[in-house]
Amino acid sequence: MALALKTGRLADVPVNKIRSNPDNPRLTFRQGELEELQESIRQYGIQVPIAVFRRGSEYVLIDGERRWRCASKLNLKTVPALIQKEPAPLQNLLLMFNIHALREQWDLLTIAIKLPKIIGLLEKELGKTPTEIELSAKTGLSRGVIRRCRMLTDLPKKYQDMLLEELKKPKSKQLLSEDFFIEMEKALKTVMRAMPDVIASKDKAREVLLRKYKSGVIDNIVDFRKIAKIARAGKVDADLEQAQTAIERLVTDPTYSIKEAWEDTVSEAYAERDVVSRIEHLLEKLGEVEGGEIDEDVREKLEELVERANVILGVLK
Amino acid sequence: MSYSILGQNLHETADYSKVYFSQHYGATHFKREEALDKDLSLKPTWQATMAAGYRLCVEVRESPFSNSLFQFVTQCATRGMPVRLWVAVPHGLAAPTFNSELRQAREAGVGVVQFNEDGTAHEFHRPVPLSVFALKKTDLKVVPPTRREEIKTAESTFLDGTPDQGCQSICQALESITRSFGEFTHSEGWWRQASVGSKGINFQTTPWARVLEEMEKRIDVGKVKSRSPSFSKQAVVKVRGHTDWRNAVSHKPKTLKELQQRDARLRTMFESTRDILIEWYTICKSLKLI
Repeated sequence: MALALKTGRLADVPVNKIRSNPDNPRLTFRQGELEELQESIRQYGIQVPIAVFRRGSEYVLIDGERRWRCASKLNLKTVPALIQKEPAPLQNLLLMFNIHALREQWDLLTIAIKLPKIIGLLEKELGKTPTEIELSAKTGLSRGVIRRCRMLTDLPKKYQDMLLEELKKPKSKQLLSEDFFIEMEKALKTVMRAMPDVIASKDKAREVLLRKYKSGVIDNIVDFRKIAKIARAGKVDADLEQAQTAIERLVTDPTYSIKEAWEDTVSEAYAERDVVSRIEHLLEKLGEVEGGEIDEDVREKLEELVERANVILGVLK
Repeated sequence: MSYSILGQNLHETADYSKVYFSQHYGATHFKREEALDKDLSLKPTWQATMAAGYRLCVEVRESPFSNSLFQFVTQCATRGMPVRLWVAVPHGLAAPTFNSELRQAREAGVGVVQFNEDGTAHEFHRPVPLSVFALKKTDLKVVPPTRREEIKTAESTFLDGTPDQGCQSICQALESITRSFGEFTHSEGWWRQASVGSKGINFQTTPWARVLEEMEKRIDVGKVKSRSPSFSKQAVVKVRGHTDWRNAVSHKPKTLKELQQRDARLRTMFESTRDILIEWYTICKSLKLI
């Protein structure tokens, strides 16, 4: 299917004849951003035409909902618009994704919510479920973004609604973000795979973690990655039973922080692994160099480091 | 409630504002996101009718003022639109410019109300009807200190949305000062004899128009000028043009257009009466009447 529409006709279209596109994945328009654009349009007018298609006596937006809203607010009579041919439903959705998702910083959730519809329409067209690569090619979204979207669409509806409410606030006032849920979901997924018996109810675990985040017990969403590392304690030869108990506490005890769980379980083991891995990496690099090629200064430095390491090991003994 | 222009983060504030202005100001016939006039450059979030005949406009925003609003205010004021414009802001979105915008809004005659999360409201200040907002403000430096309160009260009554009462106050002040002037100059013997058969004057009860008519005919300008150099017969003539003020302020406008016309008329009346009153302050000050 060719995505591009035939180049349309440019015309001044009456603002009151334009309707928003029900398939626009963008669901939230924050007032602060609209007001900034409004001021710009008030001073300089609309410099870039919006894109619409004609339906009966009205026009439906393809591109430019914010410009259209501002024009309407400023009581402008017409806006410059590129009038396109009405696209098919799938083409309409894909156009929106390609126009908007690539150009503007959309809220991920709003894209995620529309994704199942696109998948459904593509299934009809292709006769099979589209692969991630096909979906990426059609929508213009990277595979990473698609995977993140799927995590959001897999969330129970109450969390999607909670997030949608949060997204209506100005960025500076938002407490919860898509990243919070994505990081939490990734962590819970890892825990459930590595320690299937630890979390009895995923929903209860979410509730507890959400409460902790709101109360500040968890103060950084990146800390969720530490939960995943605790769940994989076996990989660094840490005490599995201790790790299991810590995760159980994490998803039940409202005051127990991820940092505490980390310190109580795998902190040292990961630190050790990190040291060993760095030394191995260094030795590997050194191994690539012929003995005679090592510069005198470097040799001296290395010998000094070996001495220092011996002292440390001596103390440790 | 669904809004086609307003950003989602302010829908709740917009809903609260409708309830608030309906309950606290008796506003009715609300219209959402519609133009007040085809030539005005802003569609307020709400517009409604108020009991006093003024049009209520509520603009829901994140902060109290903007250049778009200033343009709208200027357009309404120059057209004498009988509009009271409020800005409704949500609680907790205080921009660094909040206080300066609040001041700008007050200076432009725009009221500001802030809604808390539970729908309760805090009014920072109330709006001035934009039809009277173009009133030329009094330069208080030229008003004697003892009379500043009188003028300021009349002016705030005018701007507060009751221009008829503001005009009434300023006209009463002019009437009172000219009657006192008449009584004093008459008692000083600076009036010529009345023509035979004419009725006497009681400076407190005789109709003001007649007092002024007699004053113009009989006052000895030279004698008054010797004590109050700024006096002239023209000062009396000017006041005579204002004696039917009761008539001018008593007609209640029935339509928005009539209200607009009346406010424009009252604005001119207030300004000219006040300017004459200030001239009379100077005249009477020399005579130690104020």
